[in-house]
Amino acid sequence: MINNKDLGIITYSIYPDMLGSSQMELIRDCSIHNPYNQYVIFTSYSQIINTTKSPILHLSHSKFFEGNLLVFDLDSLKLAQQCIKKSLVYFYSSNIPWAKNIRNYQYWHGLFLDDNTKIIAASQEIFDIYSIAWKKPICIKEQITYESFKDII
Amino acid sequence: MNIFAQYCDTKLINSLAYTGNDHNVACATINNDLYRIHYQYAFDAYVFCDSLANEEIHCFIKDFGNTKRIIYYHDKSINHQAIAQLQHLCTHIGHEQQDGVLLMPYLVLPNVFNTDLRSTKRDNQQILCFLYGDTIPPNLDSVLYPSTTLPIKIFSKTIEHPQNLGIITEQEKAQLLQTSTFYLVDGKDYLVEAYLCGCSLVKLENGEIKICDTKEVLEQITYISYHQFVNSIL
Repeated sequence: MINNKDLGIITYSIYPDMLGSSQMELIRDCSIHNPYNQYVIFTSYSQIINTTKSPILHLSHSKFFEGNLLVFDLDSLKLAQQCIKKSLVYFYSSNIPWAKNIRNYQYWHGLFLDDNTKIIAASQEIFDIYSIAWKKPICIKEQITYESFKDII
Repeated sequence: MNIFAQYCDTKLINSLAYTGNDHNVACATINNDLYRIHYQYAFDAYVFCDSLANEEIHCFIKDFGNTKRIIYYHDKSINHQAIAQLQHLCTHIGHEQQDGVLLMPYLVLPNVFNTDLRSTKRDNQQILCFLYGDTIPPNLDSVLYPSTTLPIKIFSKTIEHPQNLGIITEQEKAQLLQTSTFYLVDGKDYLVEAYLCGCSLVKLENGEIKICDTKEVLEQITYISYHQFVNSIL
């Protein structure tokens, strides 16, 4: 039985930058506030020192994860969409990847118009452009924190 | 007939593959191996684009113009030098009326663009526009984001813009037109196709989108199928 409150972050690499720190703290805070749910990061390479005691598993384990997935880049989105046990994939988008990378329409269509993929926009501009081009994002979240994400995950 | 078409991002070349079962069309870029292609595959006819024509292609036309059917497509503007050099060796076609150049009529693919497979559900929120070329027409730019949030979706191989959703084939264009309500008139491309697929035509007027009188727009266009045109020139 899938517990839809369980959340996994998929990212190919975690670096000691703002994004990496935000991801670790998000998982830590989710675990603190929801102790009965499962929160984990799936990655294949981590440069960050894990001071948050967040569970980190290898990417290959993500396909068995039953719950929602949160991703922050296209490569992770493609991987997350292949996970067979997932419920929903939340894609946090802070840019417009197709604007300068012209590819086949079907490539982007498959990524963004997947029924199980929900888009979270990082700004009003991103929200507007996704609404015009693909589908309306579910919300705008400028910061990656538990406080801003708790109502959607 | 086996036809080789030099690939160029134009409506004519993109549509040649759908001209019907009478011809086999191969489309590829020519990277200085035109003679190898000729000797290896022995095509019956060749289509070259003036914007990509080079010395090799000109030599090829001079060598084989009398034994093979060759079409020289002036895709951007009429190249008078090419006409003078190759006049009797190939058929020149273009979009302008000139001596020695066959004026291309408006061509459509009725076997692709039709309402036979029309979906019962149309998206009333999107306005489609298929573009060729490297830049967005100025009047169109004024209604794209961030100037407006109109749901205009453009499709182009070269234009970098958030509302350009990428590269699509003629078949995919037909599917999009069959599931959309509006098509934006820009020049003369795909107006008839949009009409055949059941779309309403809209135009830009003073920076706003207005619905066109489709009959009035199409009355000025005479069109034939690619199949008829290809058969007439080969």
